[in-house]
Amino acid sequence: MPGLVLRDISKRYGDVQALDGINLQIQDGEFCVIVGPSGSGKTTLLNIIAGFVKPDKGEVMVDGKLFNELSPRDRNIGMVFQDIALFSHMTVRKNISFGLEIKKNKKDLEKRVKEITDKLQISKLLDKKPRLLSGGEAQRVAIGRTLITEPSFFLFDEPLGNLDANLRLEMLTEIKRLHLNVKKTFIYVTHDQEQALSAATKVIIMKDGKLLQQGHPREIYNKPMDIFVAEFFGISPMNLIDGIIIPGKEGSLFQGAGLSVNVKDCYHPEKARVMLGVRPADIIVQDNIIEDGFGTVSAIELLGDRNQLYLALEQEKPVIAITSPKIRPELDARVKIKLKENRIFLFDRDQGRRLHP
Amino acid sequence: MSERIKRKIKIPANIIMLFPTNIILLFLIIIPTILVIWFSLVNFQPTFGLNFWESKFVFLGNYLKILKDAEFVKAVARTVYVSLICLGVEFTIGLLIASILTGDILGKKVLYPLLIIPIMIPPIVIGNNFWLIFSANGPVNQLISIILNTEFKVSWFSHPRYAIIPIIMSEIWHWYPLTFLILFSGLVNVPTSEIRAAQILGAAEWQIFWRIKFPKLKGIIIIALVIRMMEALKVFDVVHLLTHGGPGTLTETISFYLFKVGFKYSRISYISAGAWIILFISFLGFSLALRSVLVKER
Repeated sequence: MPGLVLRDISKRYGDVQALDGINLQIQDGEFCVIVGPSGSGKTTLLNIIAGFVKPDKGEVMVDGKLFNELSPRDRNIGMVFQDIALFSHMTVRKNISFGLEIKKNKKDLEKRVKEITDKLQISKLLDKKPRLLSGGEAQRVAIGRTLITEPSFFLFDEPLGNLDANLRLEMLTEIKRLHLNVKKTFIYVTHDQEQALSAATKVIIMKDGKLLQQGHPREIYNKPMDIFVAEFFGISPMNLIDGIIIPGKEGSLFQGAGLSVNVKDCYHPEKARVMLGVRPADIIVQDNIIEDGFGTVSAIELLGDRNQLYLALEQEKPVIAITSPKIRPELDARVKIKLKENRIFLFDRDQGRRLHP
Repeated sequence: MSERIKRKIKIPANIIMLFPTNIILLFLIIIPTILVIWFSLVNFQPTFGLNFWESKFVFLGNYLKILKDAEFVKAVARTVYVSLICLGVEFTIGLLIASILTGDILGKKVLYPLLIIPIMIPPIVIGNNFWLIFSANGPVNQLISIILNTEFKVSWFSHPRYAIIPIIMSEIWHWYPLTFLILFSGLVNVPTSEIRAAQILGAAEWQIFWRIKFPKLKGIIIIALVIRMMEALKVFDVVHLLTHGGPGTLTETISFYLFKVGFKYSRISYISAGAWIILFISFLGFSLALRSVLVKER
């Protein structure tokens, strides 16, 4: 089987089940992003792939070869660490050439270093020590250091966590370009949503050591498996409204928190308590519409290109609506709300499973 | 008017608080130091019956004399040579144990305190123990007898060649925990992620040690060596307990020599000059060694 295959991986630290039966297959050349809240086991999983941590159970296979007993140095993996971990006592040049120097492979050393530093635009930094580098530069050097051994796949452990927002975006673009360039598998651990959505060809969502859902980001965005994924995945979390679903002739009717919403194409067999989920961008706030209900504006954030409204309903948690900057209601005003019909999710209230669509 | 006077006498609190310490320092360090400078410049021996302020001023005479004294020069050379051996062995042992204990090994928590016991034992106990171990019927002779399968009896403390061995051994045993502790603290501070980064780039354990850990430890190694060297240059107690400098003067170290000449032959001026020479040389040596650590790169 090509690519990376994890079979039934489990790992325990004392009382904590860090990983619980992870099954996963990553094709060659994929950009796979692993997301999850902290403590979900993302980094443990990465360390098992790299070989720093031995799983209690399960198999790590790469291109059909069992990796479990292989030490990290024999796995031919490139890894970029969260704290970058450049060798602080060496110059940038030494850092980059380290991978080849220890293999006594000095033949093309100069040429390779030049190639890599040109590609990453760090040729000017070669004789500097790491502590004189800026965050972005250090990141580039760390990537360059892994490139020199031509690994068969790359692991990134929250590499951009320490950078500021602008730089993070810039470096992410760089990493994406690198992925297109080297055509190798990238496995990228992060808790940053934006990064995951924009780069990935495959997203893996983890929680409490379990793999919740995997697939293309668009697929996960449009068909979240349960309430957790729906709330967690996406740049702004999904709004949840508690209520009941009443079956009807043409679809069903949802009632809750003062709203009554027609849910098209949903034929629920019986009356039941459910959670309705709707993304902030799918809530329409306008005067000239047939409304689903009313909300009271409790706060407005003017973000320039869009406005973010906090609307109090007849429930504890307000819902968030993202509107065009033109819509600017007064505070405490009662506004008409409509949910986009085809963008409504329904979830089972107890187990959290998605019922609709 | 009276208010003005009051304000004049007022002494800041910090000076009052430092006063007792300064008095103690004055009597313990400053006055003796000045006295020793003075002693080294005059010809003072209590047995002459003259007070030191009445003694003849000879300027650098004592310094010139002691530098020409073969016994003194030999004691210095011997001390340096013993110190270097001790340092080398202790450093190797310390580094070895530190590297082993930074890994994942069983019983680490028990080994750790056990291994630093020697440094907590008073020198007199160590001296007596080694005196027993190396005595004519002691375990060392017996062990060698068993290994060689013949009767082996060396009187270690009076043998002209071997007498230095028990001294070196006891020094090593006493002080290896110091280098071990310092190196251990250095080793555990090498960031895990850098070690992992080296591993994943394909470095073997020994390459990680020489290329990552060792260079990072350079500063701490020099500090460990300097601290230990200072201690080694002062070695006195074990010499006094084990060989008493003998046979003849063959195991005399600097401190032992200075003690003997100064307090047995009461040549106070002579050894004052000797002490200043040692201080000057050590100061020079240690400053050079520490320069690379303390002077930060620009």
